[in-house]
Amino acid sequence: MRTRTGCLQMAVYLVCLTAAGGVPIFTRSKGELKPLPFPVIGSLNAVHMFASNHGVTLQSTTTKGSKIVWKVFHNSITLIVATRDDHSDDCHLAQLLDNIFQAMVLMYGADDVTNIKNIERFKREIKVCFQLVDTLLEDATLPTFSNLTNAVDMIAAPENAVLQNFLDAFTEAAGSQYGCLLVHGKVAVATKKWWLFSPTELILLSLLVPAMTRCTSRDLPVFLPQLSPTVPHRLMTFDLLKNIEICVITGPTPSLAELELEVNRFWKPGYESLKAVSQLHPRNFPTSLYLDDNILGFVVVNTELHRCLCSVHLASGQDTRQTEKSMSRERRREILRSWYKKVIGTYMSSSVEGSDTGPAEFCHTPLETYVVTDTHKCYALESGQHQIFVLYHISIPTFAMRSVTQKTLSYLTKDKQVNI
Amino acid sequence: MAYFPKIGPFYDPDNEQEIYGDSHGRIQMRTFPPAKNEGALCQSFLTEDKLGRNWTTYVNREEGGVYFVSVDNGKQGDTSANVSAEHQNGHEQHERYDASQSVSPRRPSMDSGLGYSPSCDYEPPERNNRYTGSGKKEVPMPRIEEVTDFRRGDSYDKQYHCDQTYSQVLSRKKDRTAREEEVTDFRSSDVLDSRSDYATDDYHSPPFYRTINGNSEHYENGSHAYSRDPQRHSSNCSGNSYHIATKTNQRYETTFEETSYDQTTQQTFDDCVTRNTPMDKSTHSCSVSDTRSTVSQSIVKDSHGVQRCKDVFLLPNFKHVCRTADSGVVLCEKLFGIILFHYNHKTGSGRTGEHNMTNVLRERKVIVQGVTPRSPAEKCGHVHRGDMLISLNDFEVNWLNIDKIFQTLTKREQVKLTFQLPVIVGPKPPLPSSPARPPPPQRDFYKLVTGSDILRGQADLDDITYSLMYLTLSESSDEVKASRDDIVYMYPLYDTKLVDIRGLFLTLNSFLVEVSNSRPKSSLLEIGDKKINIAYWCEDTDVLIVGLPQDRVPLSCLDELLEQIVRLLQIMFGGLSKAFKRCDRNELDQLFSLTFHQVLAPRASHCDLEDCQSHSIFLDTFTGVATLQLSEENKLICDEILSEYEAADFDEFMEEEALEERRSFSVLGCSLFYKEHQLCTHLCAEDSTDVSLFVKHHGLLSMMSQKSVADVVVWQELWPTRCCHRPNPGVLGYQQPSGRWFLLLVGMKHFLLGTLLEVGGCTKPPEEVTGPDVMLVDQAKATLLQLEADIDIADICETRLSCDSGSVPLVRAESYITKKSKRESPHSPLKSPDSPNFASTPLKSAKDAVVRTHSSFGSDKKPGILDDADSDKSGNITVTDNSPVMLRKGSKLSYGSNDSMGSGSSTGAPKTKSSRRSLLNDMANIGRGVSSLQIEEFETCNSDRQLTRGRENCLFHYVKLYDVDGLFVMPSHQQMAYGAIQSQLLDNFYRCSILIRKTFENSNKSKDASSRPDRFGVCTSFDGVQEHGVLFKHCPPSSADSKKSPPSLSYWVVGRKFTDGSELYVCFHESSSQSVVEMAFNLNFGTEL
Repeated sequence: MRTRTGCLQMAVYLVCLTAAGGVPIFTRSKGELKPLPFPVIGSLNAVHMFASNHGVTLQSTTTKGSKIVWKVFHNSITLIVATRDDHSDDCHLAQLLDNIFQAMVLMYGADDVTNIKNIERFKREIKVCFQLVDTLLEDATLPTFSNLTNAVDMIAAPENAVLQNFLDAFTEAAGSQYGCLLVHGKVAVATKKWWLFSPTELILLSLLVPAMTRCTSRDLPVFLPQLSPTVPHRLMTFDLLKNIEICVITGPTPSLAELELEVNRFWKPGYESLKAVSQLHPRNFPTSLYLDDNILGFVVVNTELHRCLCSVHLASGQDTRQTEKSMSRERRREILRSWYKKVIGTYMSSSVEGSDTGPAEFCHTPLETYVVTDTHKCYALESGQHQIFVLYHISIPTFAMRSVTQKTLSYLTKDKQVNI
Repeated sequence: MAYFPKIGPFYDPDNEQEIYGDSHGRIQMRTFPPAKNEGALCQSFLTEDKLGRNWTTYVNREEGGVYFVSVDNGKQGDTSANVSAEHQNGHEQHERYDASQSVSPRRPSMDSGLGYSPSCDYEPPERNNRYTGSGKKEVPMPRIEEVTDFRRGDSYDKQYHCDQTYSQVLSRKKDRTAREEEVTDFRSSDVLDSRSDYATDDYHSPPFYRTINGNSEHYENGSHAYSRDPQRHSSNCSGNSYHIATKTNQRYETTFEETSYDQTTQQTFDDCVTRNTPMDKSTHSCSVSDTRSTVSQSIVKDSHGVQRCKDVFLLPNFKHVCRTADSGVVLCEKLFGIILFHYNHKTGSGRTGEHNMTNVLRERKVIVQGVTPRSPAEKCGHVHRGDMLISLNDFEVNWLNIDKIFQTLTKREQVKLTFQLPVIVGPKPPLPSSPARPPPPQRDFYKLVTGSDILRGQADLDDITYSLMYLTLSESSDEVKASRDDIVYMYPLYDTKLVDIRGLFLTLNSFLVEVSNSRPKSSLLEIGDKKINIAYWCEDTDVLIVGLPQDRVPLSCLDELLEQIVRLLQIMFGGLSKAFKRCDRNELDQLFSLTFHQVLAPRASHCDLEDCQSHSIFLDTFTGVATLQLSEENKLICDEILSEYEAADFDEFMEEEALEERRSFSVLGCSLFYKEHQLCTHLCAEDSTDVSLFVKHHGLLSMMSQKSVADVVVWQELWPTRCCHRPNPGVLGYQQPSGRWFLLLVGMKHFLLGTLLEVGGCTKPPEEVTGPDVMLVDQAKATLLQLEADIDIADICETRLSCDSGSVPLVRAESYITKKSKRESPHSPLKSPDSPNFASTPLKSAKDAVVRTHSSFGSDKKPGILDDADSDKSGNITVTDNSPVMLRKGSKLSYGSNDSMGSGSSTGAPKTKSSRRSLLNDMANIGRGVSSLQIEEFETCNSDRQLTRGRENCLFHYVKLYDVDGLFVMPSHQQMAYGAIQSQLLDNFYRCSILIRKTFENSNKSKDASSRPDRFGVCTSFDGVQEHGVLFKHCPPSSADSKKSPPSLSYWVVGRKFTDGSELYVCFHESSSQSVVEMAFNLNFGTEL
């Protein structure tokens, strides 16, 4: 599922320490990095502590080619991330740390994370969140954008309307109001209550399920970072088809076994629809929608509903010729990510904390922006609650990008099948 | 010889010819405007003949007294006149002397030798002493230096600047009022100095009074007669706009020896030369030991007080001597280079033997009129004008035996000459309160440029957290933090939070390498609710950090700023550590206070705009200076004049002897600035950037643009990037180059001429050359004057700056806001994104525009444009109307298909001149429709040549950046109409441009870095960025009636990088369709250099 190529390799160090004593809890790293020596970890933490002792907060430091961000959560946990400097706003790395902390809360509970009593025990037990944390650190190689956009990824299938009924029925049967159908980690349909989760919760849940090893059904205690950070709920997932999972969050009842029996009964009739949705997977939006040939990839974000739709698989089967001559999917995703990071926090703001400081420096509102490089062109546009980031083939005329982008956005947002 | 009672006895029309003769070459050909209007132009000594007259009239007009101004200045302008000038001066002296004998009834005695009043010569040793404070106490015994002022008696503020010459006096007189507020009094410290100098010289007991012409004139000794009263003094100061005294005064002596002018010339420099050369004392001692002479001085008390004698030992130079024929005077000159006063003017022979009045002869003093260049006397530096020769090898010398005595000198051995120092009589100067010498006067750039004190300037910035520190880890003791050993330099001096946490910066600097393989570049701190950006520059274990609040200076600007500071320090001091560890704190203080002032302080209201804050910051962070493009013709003249200057073909002004010597400097090239613009440069790009960086960071450009200055001379040793910091990029810092480089800046009015000089190679060995070359300074001034005279360049520049005839016309944002409501169709698709057809709006607008232009075609057409016969000679652009084609294009455009013809090439290289023309032919088909593309051609002969097409102008602003050359082209301040919205727009434009520029930079950087993989990988998503644009929308707060949506303004800020390295940033209204913008880009928006 996750392909790694050399050029996409983005190495990251993540260091987690106790804020009070500076005791290292865990370090994670991605990419081919040798582990950080202990004194270096100590220094990394020490500079931050030294500053805070003087009433100064050290937020970030860049070097030539790298960036380090510090963040303290609830006076209990210090997270330090060191990664490459992509010349984007600090808010993106801060959001990564935020997500990591919330992931710890999700898996371990706010009480225990913000109030560490036994460090050794905490060190052992916090390992439950490593899977999710590692997924968050994967960043560049993730097929979804939700961790970046702070909006959950959608798959906009025409069958969604049908599936909604199945889901509602099944959730009700599980005695819950929170249910969601995930296709390759992307939300196809969810109950109304599910959409009331905070963006962080939506994202973490949709990342958590594919992050864990595949199994037909599971029952997992989760703390919802915003809704119930201290009381765990049960997250039950059932594998319907390959990479199509149904998630419900319930109270103490029913048991997993009980509900597992119901799955077949509720979902069998929907098999064809599920299959259709599954086939839509890399494309993520209906094949009936035809977009401009020059579009290599796009991300549409609804900043109010916290949903996003992305696709880098636009060309249908016979157009593989074009795919070959242009860039790979991974490259497209990487560029779209970079483009998003470049725009958000500098020209436009998202729901992420701190992303509005950059745009606020302008006295007029930046609404559109584009960039032309040797190999590709990018366009970003904000219109109402929607933001669209488009990656174009180099062959599109610069002057045409604007109207194509506008057209694309309206096309996607107006479509009945694409509920974004 | 004529004696003018009113003028004084100093004017000698006979000798005028010698000084003001025809042999002056180009200098004489220049005509100078009289010191008129603002009086800014220092009526220079170059205008000798005029000066003579001016001086006369000036003196006549003066009610108070005679202002004696040494004519010595004349020779500064022209060396060929050097000797004769001295000569004449001597006459003056002599005459004065004579006159005093006859006129002054009160002179008590002739014997003491106090009656004459030597002029101008006595300063340098004095100053040396004053500045160096120690080392040569015995030399500087002031030989004169007491001021006689019969009117006031307050001589304490006597100026030492003998030359600033008339020019100052004259211009000052003429428009004292105008000048007084013009430039600040930056010389007060100096004045105080001189005062205490007097004070410490306790030998003053002026016994004699003498007056000439009664009380209406005051007679004074050398240095300066003017600037007696405080008021005039201040204005004098203003004239002398760039006086920076220096701590390295010893250099002057060297200069003196080498350039061999009368010492008064040194004073010129003293007055106006900024010397930055980090100086090692050895130079000085060296120059002294060279002189092969010794001096001893004795103080002899006589009944009248103190008088001093000095013995000078000189080795006679028998080179040109033909013993039998010469008189004593001639011999004296030939042997020692000491010119004595001639008494027999008519014959000019100097022989006095035939004189029948032996007694008179015996009484007459043998007085030094001057010292010839490169003579033993000049080299020893202890013989000065006005000294009275008493004895030779202890034989008393008088006019009767002088011939004989000199003729007896035959041996090549040291001769002892005894001189008596002149004493000037007059009221005693007030005693100082403290005998301690004040510290040497600081070069107060800050005050000069900003008009306020450094401390006050710092106080203004008190509420802002900012800091610059140079920290070192080299002494890694544990108590470093407590002992502050780690701070090599900090500015400002008071403690801020940033100083407290400096350990953080050092630590980051030292260990981050282990995390990320690289040194820190920047940090973001949060102090309270303020965000502070920190930028680092690392050198080994040392680190230079600059911290500025983010709301004032965005990080992107800070990076740029630090880079500039580092580069500046490197070129000024030869390296960072050298700058901070070895150099004078004050110098750095000055520099940084100016820098921070420019960046943080609200800009002075010299232009009536409120927005200038961000404006200035962003402009400052563009490395380079704005350029002002002259018309071809004027540019050519300008180039020619500068080339002439650079050729350094000054032979005709130099004495023959000087010609035999190697030159002190070779001129590498020069740059000419007018106000804040660079007019032309003959330096290579890197040097030019260095020079403009220096000029910019010292606030010289902003000063020149705000005030008209009379005279600015800056002398600075440079370590140019090209020569010193490039060859070994891995090791930044000073490496011994094969030569030395100096920057000479000469400013007049609004012009500044920067000359880069090289010492080494074909010139004299670098060690010998230390001071500014008087000749060069003079020639630089002459060049400026010639520019003024030949093409009245100031006028041309002003015209270019003030009217938009010569450049791209701009439109105000306000006009769009107001116009918008009247428009029939809204152009912004974004306003109605929900309407089904909004995607096709561009088509509509395009049609619209075509229709409109079509209807207004006839009236739009400017006469003389389309039918200009030679329009394409210089790439003039002619575009004809052709709306159908436009429609076709428009429809394509809105369709947004992948019909991408031309897009590839459009982002490519800018068209060359020839291809530009071919493009024009294509463009002729496209038509003049779509709203408003302006293409402009810089005027060649006719300023009406510009084209503005379309009914509505939609270009708000543009900046074209030639990074390689360190230049940018932008509209002048006058062109930019200001208003609330417009200034916001400009602010956005600059902010955005910086971001775009960063994008360009980063995209290049990652390319470079690809060879060396970073530990964390490299982000390559935006490599090779060619163009980046942002659309802004401004919606005024909606009014009460919400039915009608308020008019909004949408505009693009687009930056494009061309393959030649230049960058163009434009700001235009969104209504111009992008295809037209594309064309405009190819035409560079008319900003082609």
